[in-house]
Amino acid sequence: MQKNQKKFEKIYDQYNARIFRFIYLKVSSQEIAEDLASEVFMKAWSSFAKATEDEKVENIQAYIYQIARNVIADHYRAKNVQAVPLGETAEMIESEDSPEKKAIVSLEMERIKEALKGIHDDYQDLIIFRYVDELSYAEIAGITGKTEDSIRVGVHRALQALKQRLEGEMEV
Amino acid sequence: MNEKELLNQVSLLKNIKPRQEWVVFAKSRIMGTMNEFSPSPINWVGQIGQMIMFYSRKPAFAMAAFAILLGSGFFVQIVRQSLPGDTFYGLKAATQQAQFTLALGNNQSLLYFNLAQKRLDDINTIVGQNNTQNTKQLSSAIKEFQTTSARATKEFALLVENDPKKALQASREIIELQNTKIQIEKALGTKFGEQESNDLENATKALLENEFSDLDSRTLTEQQLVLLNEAKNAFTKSDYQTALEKVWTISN
Repeated sequence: MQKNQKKFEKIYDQYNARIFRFIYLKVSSQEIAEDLASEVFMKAWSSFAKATEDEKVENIQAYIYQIARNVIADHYRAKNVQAVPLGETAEMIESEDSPEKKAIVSLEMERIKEALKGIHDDYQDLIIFRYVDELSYAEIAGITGKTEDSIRVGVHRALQALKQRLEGEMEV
Repeated sequence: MNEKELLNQVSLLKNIKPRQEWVVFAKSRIMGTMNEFSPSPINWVGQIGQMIMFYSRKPAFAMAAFAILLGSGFFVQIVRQSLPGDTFYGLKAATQQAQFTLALGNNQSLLYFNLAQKRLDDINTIVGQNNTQNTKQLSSAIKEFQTTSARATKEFALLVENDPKKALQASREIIELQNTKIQIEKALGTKFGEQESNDLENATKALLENEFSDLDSRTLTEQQLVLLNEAKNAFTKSDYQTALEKVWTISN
C-alpha cells in the first residue's frame, strides 16, 4: 500500500497541473476546476490503491485523462456551468512579466479560451492535448481510443475550426 | 491569421496553473492516510500536511495532531513564518485551513474570511519587510488574498440568501477584513482586489436590505427605531459599515 501511495504521489505531482488546466479550459471556473480535478485524482487513487499487480493500469496518462473527460461530462450533465467573469484567467498566470504585459497576455488568453469554447468538444480536447499539453499523436490516440491517423486529421480540422472561430470574432 | 500565429496564441494557454495552496491541500486530502516519516525533508513536509488534513476531519484527534506539530518547534517556526512563494508556504496555508475547518465546521463563510485575513497578514508582513526583491512575493500574496476573499464573498452571498442570521454574525468579519485591507492599501500606496471588494459590498447591501425588511416588520423600542433610521441613512450614503454597526446594536 505504501509503495502504491508513493507511486501515486509522483503521478499526482506529474499530472495535477495538466489535469487542472485541461478541466479549467473546459469549465471556465477556477473553483469548479479545482473541485473536479480533486475528484479526478480521488477516483484515480481509489482504483490505483486497490489494484493488484495483474490489474495495474498500463497507461496512467491515458487513464487519468479519461477520468477527467468523464468527470467533465458528468459535470455538464448534472449542473449548469456558470460563466466566469473575465479576468479570472489573469490571476492564474504565473509569469514574471510586467503587469502591463500580463494584462495583454491575459486578454489574448481570454480570446483564445472563448474561441476554444465555441468549437466542438472533441476538437477542444484535441487542441488542448496537442498544443497545450504537447502530447504526441500516439498518446492522444491512447486517451481517445481512436487511431493515430484519425487523430492527425482531427487535429487539423480542430485547428481550422478554431481559426475560423477567431477570424469570425475579428470580423465582428 | 496563419497557422504559426494561431499556434502561438494557443500556446499562451500553457501559462494557466493551479493555485499552490490547492495543489498541497488536494494532495493531502487524496492521500488521506498516515505514512512513516521518511528522512527526506520534502517527504516530511508532505507527511505532516497529510497528517494535518487527515486529523482535521477527526476532531477527537485534532489536538493530538497539533501537539505533535508544536513539538517540532523549529520546523513549526519556519512554516509559520513562510510567505507566498516560500517552500513551506503551501503547508502553512493547508494548516491554517485545517485549523479553521476544525474551529468553524460547516461555516464556510467564516472559514474563508478568516483565511483571507491570514492572507492579508502575509501581505502586511511583506510590506513591513520593505524589500524591493519582494515584488514577486507580494504579487503572489495579493493573488492568494484575492482568491480566498473571492471564495469568502461567494460563501457570504449564499449565507445572506439562506441564513441571514449567520450572515449578520459573519458580517463583523467583513468589516474587520475591509479595515485591514484599507490600512495595507495606504501602506502600499495602491489598491488591490477591487473586484472582490465590489462583490463584497454588493453582498453586504443585500444583507442590509434583508435586515431592514425584517426589522420593519418587528415591533421595536424607540431607541431601536432611532438606530434603524440612522442605519438606513448610513445605507443611503453607502456607509455600509456604520449601517451594519447600527443593525448589530439593534439585534443584540
